[in-house]
Amino acid sequence: MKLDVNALRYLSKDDFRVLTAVEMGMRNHEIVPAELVDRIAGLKHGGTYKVLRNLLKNKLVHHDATKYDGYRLTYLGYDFLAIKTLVNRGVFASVGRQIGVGKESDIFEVATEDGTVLAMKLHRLGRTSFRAVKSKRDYLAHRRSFNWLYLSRLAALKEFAFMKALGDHGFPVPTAVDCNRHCVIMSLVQGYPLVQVKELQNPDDVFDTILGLVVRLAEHGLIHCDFNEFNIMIDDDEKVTMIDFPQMVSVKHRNAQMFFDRDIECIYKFFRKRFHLSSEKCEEQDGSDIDDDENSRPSFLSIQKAAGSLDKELAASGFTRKEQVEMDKYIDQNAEEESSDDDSTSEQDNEDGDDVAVKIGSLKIAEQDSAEVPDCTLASKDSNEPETFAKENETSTSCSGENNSINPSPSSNGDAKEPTESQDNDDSDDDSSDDPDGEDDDALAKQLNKQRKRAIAAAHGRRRPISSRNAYKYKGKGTMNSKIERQACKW
Amino acid sequence: SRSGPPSSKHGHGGHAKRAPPPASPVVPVAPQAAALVRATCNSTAYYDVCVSALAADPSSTTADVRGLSAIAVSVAAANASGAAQAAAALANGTAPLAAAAAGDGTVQALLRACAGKYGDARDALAAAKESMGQQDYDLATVHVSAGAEYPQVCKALFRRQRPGAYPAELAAREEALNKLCSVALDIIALLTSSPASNNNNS
Repeated sequence: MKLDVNALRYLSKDDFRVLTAVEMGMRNHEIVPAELVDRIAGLKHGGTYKVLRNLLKNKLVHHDATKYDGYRLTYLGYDFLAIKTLVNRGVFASVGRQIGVGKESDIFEVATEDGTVLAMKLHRLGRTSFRAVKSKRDYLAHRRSFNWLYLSRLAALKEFAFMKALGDHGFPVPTAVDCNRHCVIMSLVQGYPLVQVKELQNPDDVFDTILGLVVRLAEHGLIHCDFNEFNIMIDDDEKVTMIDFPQMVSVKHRNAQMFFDRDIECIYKFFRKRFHLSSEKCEEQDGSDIDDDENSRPSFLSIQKAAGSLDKELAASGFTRKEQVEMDKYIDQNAEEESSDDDSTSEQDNEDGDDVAVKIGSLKIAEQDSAEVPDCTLASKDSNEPETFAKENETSTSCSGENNSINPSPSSNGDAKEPTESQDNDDSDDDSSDDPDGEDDDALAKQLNKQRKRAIAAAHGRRRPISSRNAYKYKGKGTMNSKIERQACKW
Repeated sequence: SRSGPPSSKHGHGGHAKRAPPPASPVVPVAPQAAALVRATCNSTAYYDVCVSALAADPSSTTADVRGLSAIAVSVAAANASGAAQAAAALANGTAPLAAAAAGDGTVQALLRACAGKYGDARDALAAAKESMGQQDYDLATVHVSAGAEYPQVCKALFRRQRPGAYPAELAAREEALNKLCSVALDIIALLTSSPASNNNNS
């Protein structure tokens, strides 16, 4: 799929005026009454209603007449507002190919006027995590104005603030360029996600580097909380870059030590399984009694903390305490859920590791299928990719499973071929029937993805744009070795 | 900032909002500048509010229509900010008339919600200023309209849950902000109506 910024040219100033009015109205209304949209937009002679019809046609707003004649923004509508603002600021001039699909974001290449290529990350918390939040009834009861736009905006604001602060402190993160609404613009990172890398020239050094980052983060008062092979990029020179930190918390968080230990464990497990580091390097047990032992694991309690330096940086970046409080309400929900899932995973791991591995693979396939179902033109490819990804997961650590557990989603039918996968899909279907809201949310995500594609096609005046899209695939420049190159070709 | 002290002064002198400018100003104002202010305010729905709002900012004497529109938005933003603080004070029981709300948790919750809504209005008006800085008057119009709309939620909340407890102070601030936003919108409209055939003086 290609998000062509030229599509914005088809929209008039009035179109953006009404889009913004809908956005403003959503501060107080999940579905904004048409009359209110009209009042805020301030167009004359019924212009607002004409524009709303055009926006609806291009799938930039969603119409809901259940209780009253109302509208809300779609994913694409929000994308266009953010992109237009950034283009007007001169941050970039065009949008290129999609280079990444995460659980809660889409990533595109963008180019500036002088041809510099940057990365644009569009946060989409509503796509998967909304289901998790929806199940917490108490949470919703206290958040009448809850909506995914707001959470996506907070997530982007937090990522930008942290990226900027971390970069200023010498951490290997993308360069933070700009941020608007749910959109973060950053430098393009060369290389591949570590999860895609089969071989390393110096695995010991990379291991030490990554472990050192976890410790340094803690020394600066932060715990990553999701430090794994999906959030680490590595290039041909085996330079490491952290690329995703949506759940980072302070070392003062009540579960800080648990998160720290879990991050360490994820790294140990991954390197032991993928690169077969020696048992001395990746021992199972902590060596906390011998602090000077080079083989002992880092201990949270022995971290020498810097006194609040990053707090000052974050305050200067605009991520204020108010936003942090709002985020904590959301993150705490996930934190509690993660804790529960960890216990479950641990129990299964004790019983039968192979079964756990299979289930993890299936969960990954399910999520991938869910994300790609709208891409009908890739049906033939989809039949192959799930299997490839399943194989990938067979050699992955349980950290992958934990990632899935954090944001489980119902599976799609029709893509499973192996009997084992079929059984797991049946289980997922049962879960769906037990949670109608979750199923609706999943259907909504699929529908919105379709709407986005249709809107772009409509903007182009064509029946259907050419699109290519792969879950969790990043296309870096250059190759590390032939094996990596072949692996890249598979994606 | 430029609009800081004048806005603050305007905020404190609530009664002065509707008072006409002094007949004999201490500092003589250029006739041409005064004429521009009067002509600009003549195109608004609230002439007196417009004149007093613009007069509160000394830079209005040298501003063109675009500058006057920016001043109008700044005054509205300051008013919204003051209202947010007033609502918060009422909610916290630190305002003189907070006794009426004492003991009623619902009223306190409503007042806190109102503080949030006026805060949203302040943010929207700040966004309008940013848009005007980029000469995006269409977007500025939307943000000012939103700024006028958010406080309506405050009134609606009280009407639904505590009809008789809506503070007079907030009612007055709501009316004032609504008029200031209307003035700002009317002045911005002058900028968006090109010298072409469109005539927006109505």
